[in-house]
Formats: sequence, C-alpha cells, structure tokens
Amino acid sequence: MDLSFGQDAREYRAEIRRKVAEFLPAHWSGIGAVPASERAAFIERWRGFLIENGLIAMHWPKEFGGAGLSSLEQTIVNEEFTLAGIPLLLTDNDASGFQLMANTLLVHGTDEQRQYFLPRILSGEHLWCQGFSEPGSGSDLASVSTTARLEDGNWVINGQKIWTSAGHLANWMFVLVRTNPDVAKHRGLTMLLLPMDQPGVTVRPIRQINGNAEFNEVFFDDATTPEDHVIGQVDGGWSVAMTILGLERGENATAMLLRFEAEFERFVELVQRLGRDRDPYVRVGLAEAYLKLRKLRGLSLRAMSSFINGEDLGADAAPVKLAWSEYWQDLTDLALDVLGPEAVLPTDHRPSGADGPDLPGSPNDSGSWVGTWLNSRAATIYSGTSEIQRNIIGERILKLPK
Amino acid sequence: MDFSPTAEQRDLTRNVRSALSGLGGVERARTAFESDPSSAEPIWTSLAVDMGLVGLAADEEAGGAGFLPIELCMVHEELGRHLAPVALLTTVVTTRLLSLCAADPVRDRLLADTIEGRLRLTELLSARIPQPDLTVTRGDDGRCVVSGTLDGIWHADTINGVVMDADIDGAPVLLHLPITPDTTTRQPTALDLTRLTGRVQLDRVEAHELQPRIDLDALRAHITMLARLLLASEQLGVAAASIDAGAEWARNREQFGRPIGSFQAIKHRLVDAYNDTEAARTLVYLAAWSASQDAPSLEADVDEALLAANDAATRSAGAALQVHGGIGFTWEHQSHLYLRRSRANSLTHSTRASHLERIAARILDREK
Repeated sequence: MDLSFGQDAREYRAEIRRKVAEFLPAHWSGIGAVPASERAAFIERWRGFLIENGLIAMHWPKEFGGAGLSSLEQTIVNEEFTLAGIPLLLTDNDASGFQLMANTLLVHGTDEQRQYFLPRILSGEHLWCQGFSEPGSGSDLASVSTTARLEDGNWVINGQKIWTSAGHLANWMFVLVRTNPDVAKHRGLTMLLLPMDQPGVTVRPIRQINGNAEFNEVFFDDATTPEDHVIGQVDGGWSVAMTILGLERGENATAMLLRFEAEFERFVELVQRLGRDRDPYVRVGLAEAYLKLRKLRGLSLRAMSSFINGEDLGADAAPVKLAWSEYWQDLTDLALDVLGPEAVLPTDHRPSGADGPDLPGSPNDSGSWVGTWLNSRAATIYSGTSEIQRNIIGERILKLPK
Repeated sequence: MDFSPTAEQRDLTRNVRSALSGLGGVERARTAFESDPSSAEPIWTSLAVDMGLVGLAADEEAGGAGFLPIELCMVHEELGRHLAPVALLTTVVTTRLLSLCAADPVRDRLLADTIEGRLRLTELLSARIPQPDLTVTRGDDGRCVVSGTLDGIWHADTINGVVMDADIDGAPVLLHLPITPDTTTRQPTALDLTRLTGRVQLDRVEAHELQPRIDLDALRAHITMLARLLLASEQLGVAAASIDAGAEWARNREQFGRPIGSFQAIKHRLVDAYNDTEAARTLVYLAAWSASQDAPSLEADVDEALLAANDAATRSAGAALQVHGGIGFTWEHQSHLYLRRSRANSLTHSTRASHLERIAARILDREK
C-alpha cells in the first residue's frame, strides 16, 4: 500500500500544469465564465492545443493517432484539465465516440474497422451515439426488440431506440439489435454500426425536466447498413454490449471527484455569502454532505489506483457511481434549502448539461443550483439506475442470488 | 498510488485472521464473558507473544518494529472481525505513548515488556471515558500517589498498568500506575459484552512519573489520533463480519420458495451496508497513510475516518440482525455482540453530533 504519487508523476503533473497555464488566457476562471457564444471557438483552439501537445485521444495507442498515455498519465492529465476548469469532452458525442466506440473497436474491432473509423472519430467527421435502450428495454437490456435481417449484403433494421444521448447531433450509431429471434434472448443480439444520415432513420429529440433536449427517440424504418458493419460476432452482440457497459475503468474517477470538490467549494461560498453558516440545520447538512464527499474521494482514489495498476475495476465501479450520484442529489437538495425562497424564482442562468456539476466559472446563483438540482435527478437513472447498481453489487460482490 | 496490500501485509492479515478463527473466533469471546475469562489468554499469547504485534507501535530504537500505522489498522480490523477479547488496542496505544517518553529504567522495562507481550497496559490520555473520581497528590518524598476509582476500563482484569496525566498544583504530570488483579472487578452491565470492562480501585497507588519527549498536548493529540484510528479499523472488522454473516444467511435461508437474499429489500440493505463499509475502509487507510507520513491533515483525516467507520459498523451490524429475523434477536446468536460493539465503539470517543459539528467548524469557521 502506497497512497502517494511518485516523483515521476509529480514532474509529469507539473509539466502538464505549466502547458495548460501557458495556453489559457489571463484571468481564466473556467469554461463556465466564457460567454456561450464564444465557447465553440474556445473548444476549437483547445482541440488545436491537444493535437499540438499530443494529448488528443489520450488513451488510444499512438498507431491510431492517439496519445498512447499510460493509465497514470491519463489520470494526471484528466485531473489537471478538470482543475483548470476545462471539459474533458470536446463535443456532446465524444463520450460515445472517443470513449465507448473507440474502446470497443480497440477490443472487438477488426483491423479494417479500426483503420476506417478511428481516424474519423479523431477528425470529428464521425459523431457517434449509442443505441441500446428501447421503450420496452431499459434496465433489462437483453430484451431489445429492434430487429435486423440480412438482405442483399445489407442489414435492414426496424424498430425504435430511446434515451439516445446526443443522437440529434450524431451521424453514426452503434446499435444493439435482435438478429435471431429463435434463441435465448441474450444469444440473438448483434452490435451494428449504422450511418444515421439516411431516409430510414428518424431522430426526435425528447425534452427533459431541465428544459433541454439532450436525448432522443430514434426510429428505424428499413434503415440499412452494410453486412460487414458488425462489431464482434453476429449474434454475439451481448458480450460486446457488456464490454461497452464495463468500460468504466476508473480513468475519470478522480476527475469527476475534482468536479464535485469544486462544486462543494461553491456551495460553501453560497452558504457563507447568504449568512447561513450559523444555522444548525445547515451546519449538520453540510457536514453530512462533506462526509459523503470524503467517502466518494476514498472510493474514487481506490478506483484510480486500480486503473493505474492495470486491475479490472469490474463491479467496483458500481459503488463509485452510487456514491457520487446520491451524494450529488443530497448536496443540491441542501443548496435549495440554503437558498430558500430564492430557489422558487431562480435567475435565468441554467447549467449546460446533466452529466455533473455546473461548469467551473459559472455564476454561483439560484439558477445554477436549481438547474443542477434538477440535473442531479438524472444521475441515479443514467448509466444503470441506482437499483441496478445495487443489484450488481449484491449479486457480483456479496454473491446474493438473483 | 496503490491501495493493494503488499505481500507482507497480506500475510499479516491472513496470519492474524487464521490465528483468531483457529481459536474459535467470536465464540471464544462469548466464553470469555459468559463463563471463563481465562479462555482469552491463548489469544493474547498468539497475537502479542508469538506474533509480537505490539512491536508495530514502537520505533526501532525503542525496540519495536518501527511505527507502522497501516499494519496496525490491518491487525485491528481482524480483531474487530472476531471481537477478540484481549487488551491489544490499549496496549498498542500505550506502547506508542511510552515510546514517546524519555528513557528511564521504569519506562524502558515497561516498553520492553509490552513489546514482548509480557505486560498489558491502558491509558487515559485519549479520554475514552471521563474519570472524575481520581485524586493525585505529591507526597513529601516527591512521589505521586493516586487514589480513587477508574470506571469502564477495557479488559481491567488483565491490565497491568495505566498511563494517565494529571495536574498537580498547576503543573502537568504524566504517570504510570501499576494495576493488580485483586483491585479490579468486572462491570457486567457494560453495553459491549466482549470488551470485558471493569472497575479499578486505587488506594494510594504509587505512580512513576514519565517524561514526555514532546509537548504533553502534542503527545495527547498523537495518542488520541492513534486510539481513534485503531478503533475505526476495529469498526471495519465489525462491519465486515456482520455483512458476511448477513449475506451468508440471506443466501441460504429460504422463504416463499426462494433464498431471501434474492429479494431486493434484503439485498439492497446489505449492499448499502457494504458500500458504507468500503467507503469507510478507504478513509481509514488514507488516514493510516497520513499517520505514517505525519501529514498536516492527519487529525481531520482520522476524525472523518472514525465517523465513517462508526456509521458503517452500526449500519452493518443493524442490517445483519434484521436480515436474520427472530434468530438475530436471540442471546445465542452473534448478531447482538457485533451490534453492541459497533454502538459502544461509536460512542467511545465522540458522539455523532460532535463529529459533524467538528467537520462543519473546520469548513465554515476556518477563516475566523
């Protein structure tokens, strides 16, 4: 057991920090302080910085255009970017493209698939989304009923997906479909790669409780994709899906933690600015939230340790997800109590996405906290509901029966 | 950054665990409080004499193995897992205390004897229980004499001495007083049955004056830190043993034609206990690391680790009892022994409310 970073890691961190500081403009306080109209331009300049410094697609091997960083280096870069208030993902499709799709190709893809798709993810030409959930298949993923049949060298796809994050911005989808209805439900599934810009694909955004439309319904009406656009084996899609769902390996565990730690600092600032720091209810609530944050820190550091030492995180990812999603709801709920009546008529500022705390540098106001409070409700549902996470822990770690 | 134990640390845990389970585990603790206190003696011999675990508390120049907080936490996790009814925690903490005192013949002998497992000691500096009924005076010969009653002393009937501080005419002193078995009586009403708690009657006991090598307040802070850290580790073991027992029962007990562990109401209750425990474990070992580095955040780290471990242990022991149903409420079953230990431990150094208030004060009052 050694719970510190070595000298090499400290030097690498210092080097990354120096490069980031040289890039960022004076008085930088985080992406949230950049006017919305200027954010896209900033992100493009940042992309240039990443390419110039060999930091784009940091987990991909160099032969595919990635940075080929070690796990420890990835962790440090993610932490430093997060501390600087810069988002780790450049577009809303990067989680599906750079991470899920690319990692899956690296595990299950053919050489041809890697050579064709990876450079196009890198250039931004292909923007990916994930087609898993259906109206009738949420937590029970193996029950998907969207079908695909082979016809003249093409797969012909019919059915519907739902909760497709950033589907309205994507031009490619990896989609789990049923290719054999006559076998047990886990055995008849296939993972197809589908171009979305075709008449057989209709995307309809779904408005969420925060007013945004970040996810979508996607309808397939004789949509087609070439026969070789299969990842893994035909009828072997379940194991590919399991790979994708198991891709949480801990590289972002501490970066996510740093976002929550920065958010907690904002919360403390709010409490003090509103003069609520002598209120016994607020003090107890704040201390309870902080204890949960510290527990999240411990779990995140341990997940990071597994990641950098090449251990499989496996079911240990579930406690981290549960810890942050439930902590986040508690903290934002307490923030509303701190705001009091102000939260009933908040400012017009709204957080941009539901993936975590409001952007660093955003105004620390009622609009930010009310929006974050709403967003936090999604966190115990997406990426496996809290109930499913508890089942995973109960069954895989505590060996309790299904 | 690596949370995995080294091969040596793994061996240490395995050896302590197999020694304790080989001696009957928690059932030996039951025998010790119900009928035969001497049945705990082989545990002491195994851990303190044969394995020399007390030496983990003292630096090499004091005759120990080097102060190793991480290893001590691993050992105490196992003690908690088996509710081992021996005075190891208090002896370890007091040994650490003695190692931070200046050498003199009495201190040197005490230190050597505890490290070899010949003596068992406790201390009052970490203030587990207030001792209002004590008078300390200095006689004409300059020696300190102590009279009164010590209440709630863990393993009082096997303790050989107590280290305490006192104030004589405005001057702080640090004292060691010897204890003999004939001055102790068991206090059977103690909430924690397996801790074998007792009262010590002191009638003009001549004390030896120790000279701390560091400021007395700093010494107290260090000793309190260590006592809390080891108690937190013990709570991890209490929690883990409870979850193991609850999960095993839930896998095997059938109702409505299914193992009850397949019901989410049961499963999720155990999972919540498990998650609390794993999170607490990371905090305990991060705090142990801080102790090994003497980090500036040490006091806060230990404070938070103990709170998290208290929560994990009380929740886990409660969940295990509930999952067992009626069996869990019987005297014969082990559930109440863990429930009692978890709750008594959780009240030993600080209430939950004061824990939370300290956290709030560290965050909100830091600039004032």
